[in-house]
Amino acid sequence: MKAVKTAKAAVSPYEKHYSILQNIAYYFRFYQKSMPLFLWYALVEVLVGALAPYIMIYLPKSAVDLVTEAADTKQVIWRLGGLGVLYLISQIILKAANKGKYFLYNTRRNELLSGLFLKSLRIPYRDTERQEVKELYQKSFESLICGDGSSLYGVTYGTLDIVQNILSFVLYSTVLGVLNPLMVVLLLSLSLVQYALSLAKIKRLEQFRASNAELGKQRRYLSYAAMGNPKAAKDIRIFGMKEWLNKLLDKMFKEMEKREKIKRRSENVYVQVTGALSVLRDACAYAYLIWQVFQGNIGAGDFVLYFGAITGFSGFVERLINGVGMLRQGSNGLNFYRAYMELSEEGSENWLPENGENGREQGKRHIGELKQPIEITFQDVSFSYSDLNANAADGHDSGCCRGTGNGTGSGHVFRHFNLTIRGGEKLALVGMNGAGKTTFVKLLCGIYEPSEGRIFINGIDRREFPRTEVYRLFSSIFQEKFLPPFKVGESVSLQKEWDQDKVWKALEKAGLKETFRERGITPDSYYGKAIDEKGIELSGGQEQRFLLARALYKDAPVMVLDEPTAALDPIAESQVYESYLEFSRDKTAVFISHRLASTRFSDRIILLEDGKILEEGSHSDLIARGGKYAEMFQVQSSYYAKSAKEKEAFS
Amino acid sequence: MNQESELLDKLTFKQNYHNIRKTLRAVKELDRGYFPFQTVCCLLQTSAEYGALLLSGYVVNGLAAGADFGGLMKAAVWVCILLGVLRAVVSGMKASMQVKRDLMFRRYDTMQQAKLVDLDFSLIESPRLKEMQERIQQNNNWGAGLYSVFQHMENLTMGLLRLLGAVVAGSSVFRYLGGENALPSVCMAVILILGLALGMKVYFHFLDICNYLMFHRLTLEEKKQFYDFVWDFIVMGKYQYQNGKDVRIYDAYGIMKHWTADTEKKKEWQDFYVKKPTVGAAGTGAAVGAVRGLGTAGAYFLVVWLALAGGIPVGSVILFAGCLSNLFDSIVILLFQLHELGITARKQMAILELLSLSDEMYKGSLPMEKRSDGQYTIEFSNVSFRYPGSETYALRNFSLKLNVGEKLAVVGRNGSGKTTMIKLLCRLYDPDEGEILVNGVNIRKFRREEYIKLFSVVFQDFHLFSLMLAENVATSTEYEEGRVERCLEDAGFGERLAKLKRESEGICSYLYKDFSDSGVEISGGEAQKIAIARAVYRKASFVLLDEPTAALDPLAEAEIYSNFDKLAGEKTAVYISHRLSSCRFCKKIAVFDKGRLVQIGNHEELLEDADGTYAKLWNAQAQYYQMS
Repeated sequence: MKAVKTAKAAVSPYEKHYSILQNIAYYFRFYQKSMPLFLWYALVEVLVGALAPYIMIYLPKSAVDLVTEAADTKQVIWRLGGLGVLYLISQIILKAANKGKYFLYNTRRNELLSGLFLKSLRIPYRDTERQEVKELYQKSFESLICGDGSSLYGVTYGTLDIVQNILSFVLYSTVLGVLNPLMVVLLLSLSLVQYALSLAKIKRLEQFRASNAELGKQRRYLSYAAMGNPKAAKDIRIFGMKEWLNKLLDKMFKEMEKREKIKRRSENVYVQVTGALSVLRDACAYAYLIWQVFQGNIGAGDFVLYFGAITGFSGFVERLINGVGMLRQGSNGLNFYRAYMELSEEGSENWLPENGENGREQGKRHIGELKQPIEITFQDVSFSYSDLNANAADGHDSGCCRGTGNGTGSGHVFRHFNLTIRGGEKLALVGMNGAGKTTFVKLLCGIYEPSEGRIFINGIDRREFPRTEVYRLFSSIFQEKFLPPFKVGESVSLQKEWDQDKVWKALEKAGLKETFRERGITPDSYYGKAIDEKGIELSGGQEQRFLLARALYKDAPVMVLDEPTAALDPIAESQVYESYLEFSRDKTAVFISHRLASTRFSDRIILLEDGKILEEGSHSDLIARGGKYAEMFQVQSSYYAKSAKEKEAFS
Repeated sequence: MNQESELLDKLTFKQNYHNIRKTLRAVKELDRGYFPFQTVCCLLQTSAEYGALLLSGYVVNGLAAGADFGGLMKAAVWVCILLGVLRAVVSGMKASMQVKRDLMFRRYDTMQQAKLVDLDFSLIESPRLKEMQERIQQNNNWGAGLYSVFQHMENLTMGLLRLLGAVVAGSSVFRYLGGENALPSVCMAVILILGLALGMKVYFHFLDICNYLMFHRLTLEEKKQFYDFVWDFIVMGKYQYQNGKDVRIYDAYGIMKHWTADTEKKKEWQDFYVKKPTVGAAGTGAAVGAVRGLGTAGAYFLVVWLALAGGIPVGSVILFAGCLSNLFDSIVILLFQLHELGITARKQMAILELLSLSDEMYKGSLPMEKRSDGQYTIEFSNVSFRYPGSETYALRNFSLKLNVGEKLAVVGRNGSGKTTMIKLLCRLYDPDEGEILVNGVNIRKFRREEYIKLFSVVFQDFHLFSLMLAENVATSTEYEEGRVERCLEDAGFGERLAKLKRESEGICSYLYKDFSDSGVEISGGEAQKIAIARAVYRKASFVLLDEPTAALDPLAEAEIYSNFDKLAGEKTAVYISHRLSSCRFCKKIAVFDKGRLVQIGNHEELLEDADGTYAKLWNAQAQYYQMS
C-alpha cells in the first residue's frame, strides 16, 4: 500500500488532503493514546491471521504424506496431531482477537464523537454559523456515527487487512519459492496487475460516488429534514403534502437507480479482465505442478500443498484490494474529521498583531481591574458577514446568515458604527427585522469581533482582554433557549462546581423557588427526561425564568436580553420585563425587542435600521420627533391608546 | 442502554423464528429479486469451491493411478478455465448484489423517516414514538443494521450449500465407510458429533456469560453518566450550534466536557464499560474458533485413520477430509449464523414496529359537500381534550359556534388551549368528549382528506421546505405559474420575487441550500410571506391563523394584518394572537383560560368586566402604550 497522494497545501481550512499513510498514523496514534489494548489485539490477530492459512495448507499435505507413507499411529499422532493442535490454537486466538478488537474499536467511536462535539465549542462561534463549517461538522459526524461504515473502521480495519494479507502472501510465496522462484515472480506480477486494475476500479467507483453526492444530499433532506421532521408534521397534514413529497422521493430514487446501473456496468470490464487473469494464473500454475509431479520432482503431498497455496493467492489479493477500498473510503471520512479538528480555536486569533511577540497574544488584562458599572463604546465599528468569510475561506459564498435573522446578503451589517453605552444605562434596541439587532448583541458580547473599528470597555480596547475575560462581563439571554439535560444546579450555573444556596437564591429571584418547592424540585433534579425519567419539565414562561435564574447566578456587570418574550402571553411578558428591570438596577443593561413596550423601561432607545442608528433618545423624545419610532409605536399602540383614553374617561 | 440489556432476555425459538421471518419479509418487500439472486450467486460460488477440491482429488488420484500426462493436463486446464469463468461470474454478481444492498439500505432508511407522514399526528409528539425511535437508534449502534441481515443470510446460504456440497462431493467416498471400516468410522463419527455438540453447548453457554459481560444491566446512575447525554444531546441533535453562544458566555465548556469526554475517560467507566466486556467479546470469539478448529482438525484425523485402516485411495483423502471439515464447519456456521440472525432480526423489530404502525384515527366516509359559496358553520359542542399521556385537560367542556363569514379572535395565556382548538378543528386530534360539527354534522364522519381541504392554516411555527418556491406555494409538483406569482404578490413577496426573477430562477428557485446547492437564502419575514401565499393558493373556505406574527417587527406585522384581510375576505376566519391590538378588528373575541372558554364578546363588552381575564391581558399590554 503506497500513499496515493502526498499532503498538498490545503486550499481552504475546510478541506484537508492528508495522505492515506498520514491518516493511518493518525488513527493508530489515537489508539495508542486512548486504548493501547486494541493494538495488542490487532497485532495478535494480524500475526496469527497470517499464519493460520499457512498451517491450513500443511494439514492436507501432511494427511496425504501420512497415507502414502502408510505411517504408524505414533507418527500420525505426532505429525497430524501437532498440526491439528496448532490449527486449533490459531483459530481460538484468531477469533478471540477479532471479537475483542471489534468491541474495543466500537467503544472508541464515542470518544471521537465527543471530541468532535467539544471541538465545536472551542472554535469561534462565528465559524459554527458558517455553512461550510456546518457541512464539515455534519460530514465528520456521519463519518463516525455509522458503526461499520465509520472512518475509524475503514482506516484501521482496512490497514490491518492489508498487512495481514500481505504477510500471508509472503508466507505462501516462500512455500512456492522453494519449488521454483520463477513461480513466485509469475504470481506476484499477475497479482500486481490484478491489484492495479482493481485500484482503477475502486477509483472509478469513488468518482461515481462523488458525482452522486448531490443525490445523497437530496435523499437525506427529503427523508430526515422533510418527511421525517416532526416540526413539519402539522403543515404536511393540513396541506396534504404527502403526495408532493412522495413524488419527489420517487423521482430521486429512480435517478439513483439509473446511476447505480451505469456505475455497475462500468465495473464489468474490470471484472472480466481480472477474471481472465486469474484463469491464466491458475492454469499455468496447475500445469506446472502436474508437470513437476510427472518429472518426479514432487510427490503427491507436495502437490496438494502447492495446489492449496496457489488457490489461496487469489483470496489474498481479493481481500487486500477490499482492504484498500475500505481504507481509502475511511481515509476520506477522516479527512473531514481532521479538517474540523484543526480549525483554529477561539483565542488563537490574531487580534492585536502589534501587541504579541508571536502574534498569538490576546492581551492579558483582567476584568477585575474594571470599575463598575461598565461602559462600552463602539468606535467606528464595521462588520460584514462576507468579510469574515473571505478571511477564513477562499472568498466564495457570501455570508450565510440563516439563523442569525439578519440576511443582508454580501453587504455590511454595520459600517462605521458609533455608540457609547454609559455605565448603568438601560438601553433599548428596536428596529425592523434584519436591521442588525442580533448582530449587534453578538458584537457587544464579544461573540463577534468587528471587521474594522474598535470596541472599548471602560475606555480600554477590548482586545487587551482575553476573550474569556470579555465573556465574564455579560449575563446574556439569547433567543435560542439553551436547556441542557443536566442537574438543575448544573444547568443554572453551567459550571461543574456550583453552590447550592446560590442556585436557590437565583431561582428565588427569578420567581421559580416556590413552584420548585411545591413540585419537590431541587437543584439536584435533572432537567428534562433525557437522562432521568423523573426529570423536570417547564412551561414556556417558566423556561424564561429559568434562563433569568442563570443570568442572575452569574451576576455579571452587563445584562443583555435578546428578545426574550416573543412567545409569551401579555401577562407573562409583563412579569418577565419587571423581573429584568428589577435585577438590572445597578448594572448596564441592553434590551432588544420587537415589542416597543419594553422601551418604556429604558433610559435611552436606539432605533436601528440597516445597521445605522436612525433615531435615538428617550421614549418621549422619539415620540415628539414623529419619526419612524413614533410611526412604529403608533402602529402598535393605536388600539391600546384608544383604550387608555377610554379608561381615563371611566375613572 | 436499557434497550440493549433488554436484548439479553432470552427468546424462545418461536419468537426468534417470528422475528427472522418478519425481517426477511421486509427485505423481500424492498427487492423481490434479491434472495433468489443471492442464492444463485452462492450456488455458483460453492460450485467453484468444490470444483477446485474435486480437481485436486482427481489429479492426485490420477497421479497415484499413473494416468497419462496429456490427459491429466488437459482436464486440469479445462477445469481451471471453467472455475475461472465461474469466479468471474460470481464476482460480477457480487458487485450487483452490493448495488442492490445499497439501494435497499437507503430505501429502508428513507422509509423509516417517510413513515412519519403516514402516522396519526397524535403519535408524532407522543412518548411512544420517541421511545421507539430511541430504541431504533440504539439497536443500530452495534453492527450494520440491514447490512448485517444481508451478511448473515449470505453466510447461511453458503453454509447450507457447502453442507449439501459436502454430502454430494463426498458421496463417492462414503462407500468406504462400510465393511471392516464400519467400527472405526462409527466410533469416529460419534466422537466428532459428541465433540461438536459439547462444543456448541459450551459455546452457547459461554456466549451468554460473555453477552452478560458485554451488555450487562446498567443502573440508573450509570445510565446518567455519559451515555444518554451523548446520545440525546449530541447524536439525536438536541444540541444546536446556536446554543454555543451560551456555552461561551457562561463558560460552560467545563460542564459540557464533564458530561462527555471526562466521564468516558474515568477509570471505573473504562473498566466497567470497556475492559470487562472486551474479555466477554473475546471469549465468544474463542469459543467459535475452538469449535471450528476442532471440527477441521478432527476431520483430518478421522480420514487419515480410515485411509490407514485401508480402503480410501490417497486422492480421496483430500476430497474426503475437505468435505468432512466443510460438513462440520458448515454446521457450526449454520448454528452460529442462525443465532446471530436472531439477534440482528430482533434489532429490526423496533423499525418494523414503526413501519407497521397504521393511521388509527377514524377516517370518515361521508363525502364533503363542496360549496363554492363557503356556506359552512362550525360548532364546538361540549368538547374536552387531553393530550396523550397528559393529566390535565387542554380543553374542557368547550362550546362555541362560528357562523359563516364571521371573524373570531382567540386570546388567552400560554397553554390556555388556543392552539389545541385549531388542532382539533383540523382533525390533527379527535376530541375525547363532545363533538365538533360542521353544518350540523360531526366532522369525524367526513372523509378526512376532503375535510381538511376546507382549511388554510398558518401556524406560528409554519414549515417551509428547501424545495422549489413554486412547489412550496402549491404544495405539489404541479402548479399554475400565474396563480403562484399572484399569491406571492398578494402576500407581499412581490419585491423579492422580482429580484429572484432577475438573479435566480424566479418561482423555480429553490429555497435554502439543504436540497440544492443553488438554493437562495430567505429571511424570516420573507418565509412568513411565502407561508401566507401558500395559504392563499389553497382557496380554502376557512382561514386559521395561529400567532403568525410573533417574530415580526411592528411594521411587518401591520403589513401582514392588512394582507390577512385580503386573504380572509368574506371567509370565516379564526385569529390567535398574543397581541391583543391585532384582535380588536374582530367582532367576536373568545377568551380562553386554562382550557376553558371564559369570556366571549367584542372588545368593549369584554373590557367592561374589569376583573375578567381579557381586561387583565389587555391592561398588561396596554399599560406600556399609554402615553404619559
